Amino acid sequence: MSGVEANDRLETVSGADADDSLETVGGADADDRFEMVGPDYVKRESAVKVATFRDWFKGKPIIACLVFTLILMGCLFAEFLINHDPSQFYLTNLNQPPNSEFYFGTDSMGRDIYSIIWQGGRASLLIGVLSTIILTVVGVIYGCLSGSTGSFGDNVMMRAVELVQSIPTLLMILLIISLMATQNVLSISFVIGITAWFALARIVRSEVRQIRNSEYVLASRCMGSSFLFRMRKHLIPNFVSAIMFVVISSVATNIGMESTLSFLGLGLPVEVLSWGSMLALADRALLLNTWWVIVIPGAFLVVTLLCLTQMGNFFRERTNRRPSNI
Amino acid sequence: MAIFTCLCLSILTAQVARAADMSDLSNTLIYAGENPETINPLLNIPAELPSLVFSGLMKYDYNKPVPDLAESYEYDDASLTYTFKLRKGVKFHDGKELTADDVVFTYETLTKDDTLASSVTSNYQDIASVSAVDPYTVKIVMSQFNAAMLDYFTIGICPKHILEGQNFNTTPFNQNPIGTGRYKFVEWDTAGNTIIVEKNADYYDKVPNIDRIVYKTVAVESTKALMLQAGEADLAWLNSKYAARFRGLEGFKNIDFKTADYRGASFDFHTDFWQKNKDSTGVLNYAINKKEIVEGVLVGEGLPAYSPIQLSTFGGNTKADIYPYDLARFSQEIEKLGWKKGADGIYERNGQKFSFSIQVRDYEEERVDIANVVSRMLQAVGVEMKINLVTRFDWKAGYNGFLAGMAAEFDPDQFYATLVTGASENTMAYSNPEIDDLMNKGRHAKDPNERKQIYAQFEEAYAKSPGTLLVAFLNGNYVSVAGLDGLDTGRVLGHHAVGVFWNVENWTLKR
Repeated sequence: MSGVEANDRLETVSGADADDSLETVGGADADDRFEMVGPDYVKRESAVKVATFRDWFKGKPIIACLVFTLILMGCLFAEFLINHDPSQFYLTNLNQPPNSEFYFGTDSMGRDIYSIIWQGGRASLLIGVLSTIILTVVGVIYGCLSGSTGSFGDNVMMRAVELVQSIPTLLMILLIISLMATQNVLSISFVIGITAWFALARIVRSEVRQIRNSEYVLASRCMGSSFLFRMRKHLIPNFVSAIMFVVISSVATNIGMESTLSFLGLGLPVEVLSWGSMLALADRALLLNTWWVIVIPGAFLVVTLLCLTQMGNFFRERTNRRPSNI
Repeated sequence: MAIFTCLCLSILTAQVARAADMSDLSNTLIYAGENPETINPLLNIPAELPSLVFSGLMKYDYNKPVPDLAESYEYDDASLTYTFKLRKGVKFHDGKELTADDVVFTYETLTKDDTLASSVTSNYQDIASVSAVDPYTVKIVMSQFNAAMLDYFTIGICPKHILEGQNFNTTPFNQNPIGTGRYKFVEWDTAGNTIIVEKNADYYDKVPNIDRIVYKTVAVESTKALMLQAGEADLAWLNSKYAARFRGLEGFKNIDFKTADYRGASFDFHTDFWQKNKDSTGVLNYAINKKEIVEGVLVGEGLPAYSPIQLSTFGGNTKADIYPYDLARFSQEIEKLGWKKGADGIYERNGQKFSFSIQVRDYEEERVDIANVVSRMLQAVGVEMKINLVTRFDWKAGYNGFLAGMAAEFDPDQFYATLVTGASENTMAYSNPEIDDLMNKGRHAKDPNERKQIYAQFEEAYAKSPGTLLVAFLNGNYVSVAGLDGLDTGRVLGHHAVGVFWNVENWTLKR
């Protein structure tokens, strides 16, 4: 529901913008309504262009979207792309540089890098998305609560966040992981998500404080609406575009965090393939001079993160351009 | 950047300070090795440092025991008595003379001290009494003949004047040892992961050429290789893949020893799973392509294993090699045992899945690789072997086994303590009356031909109900700087390629 509403709202905003621009254009060229036709009449082109395909693309991170979609599709439909069993050890083909049979080469245990990248990307992307969902839910609820309560409660809640935030994230993750048994995709997502929502909660809280005294929120309160109802109907639709940037960049950060953990040997167990667990083989590859074992998964990771950051950046710029609604 | 520079500078100054402190590094050998917890010959037998700091009545010349602290020995068969004449004037590193009392003290501790938590006590159970005839003569009376006894007399002698009345397991002596060996213990810097030993100028035999050995304790295989590459170590045992990388590289030497060290998945018979499925250990061998593992994981530096004592004296009975790599045969044999494939493709019997777990230490990369491949090969045929990576072995966590290594580089009787029911190193609770019987017969037989036969029988019996899924024997691939000479590959090394320092007194180092 809230999604639909948000879209509506976005449309109205852009509609208003368009009207504005039309008016100014109209004002400047008021004389165009009458055209003088004379002997040396030259046909003049209208200054208002019909929006072309190109204009629509302008400013939007098209390349990033395309590349990301490609990687995402590749991972989702890995079965159709891979040409080897990703968890099989091809012991007769160790440390092969990229060739026509093993497109991205093999590692020191004869595993096919090309097949692992697509299969392992699933785990990495899934962890990125799952942990982002967790951090968004926790961050939004906490932020809304903090923003809606009185100044004392707000103070307590925000100081608590600052307190926990002062602990380095990696240290906190290590602490939580040490309490858990073996890791799987779900538990890793949980740990990453539960330690990354603080920044989001603060943004949500400041947005909520700006709109909590708006007439429609007050009216809704007077009519006895519940907190959850107000959050869903009035608060979230108003700040969803403001937090879009944080949410999308979180996907990137969380994928990076999974890689960091797996690289340190604290993430997924070895038999679960992910980009991070591939990078964990890096020191071995350095010793054995097999650059493709590090560079290719690394490149995939970096490109994915860049695409996501680009997309997040687009939302940030759009939020900044929008007229403030104070 | 600034921080980085600061860091570099501080590391550099620290190194300079260290170097100044040790005056001259030109005749100092830096060895990268395993991380020991103690340096005590009674507590950790297969280790390099005790062999440097301590010496025993006997020592190994290549793989045969010869007199060391003893000038000579006699054995009287009728009274089952060994009489050792000790060298005179042998001094402990603290200056006190070694006498028969120290020898008696060491052997009495091994045979009578019930608090001693050592894996080797089973090797000394045939000693009836030890006594000092005079300060330079020791009499050891046996309760019965033990064929491997001269091997076991190589154990290092501990100083009575320091250790008397102390608890061997916890004494500070374990971290500050005093022996009679070729090198004196200097310091153990636990924060810097360094143990330093210096040559014993008063040594009773050939004094070593190399002045000092700095033993860097690094467990991680890739770190050892990186240290060699960066010039931070002069000698290290590397796994076959890393060692291959140094072949033909200028400034380095590959020294390839033979070892009697096997790798395999060892099953813990304390656990319920193996208690119930004792009969199904051997059949797994059919599913493991050992040759491919040797070629792939060990890059050819090893050979397929079929018996734990395959490379020991008297070992290598090819009739014990009863499991060819044959998947059709595997499914036939496992079904004969009553296992049926379940819906998920894993074998089941009596409602129990053929699924077990093993633990592997995460820094032992070669073992992790072997475990991964074995697990994969088993999975392909419908047996699940789960791998748990741990930093320290956890024997109480209930894992069904571990990726084991063991070696009997001298006498096959070295497996007595591991395989005989209730023996001192039988940590996996392996128990098989036939094996107990053969191991005891082998230990007490006098005639070498008879022993050969007994151990041949043992190999066949063990192959039928193994406690370990044997995979491969490793070569001991050492890599050193080019200036190190004198290592003798005539010696067959033990577990973790231990024993490389056996002739350290002949080594020379040119920088």
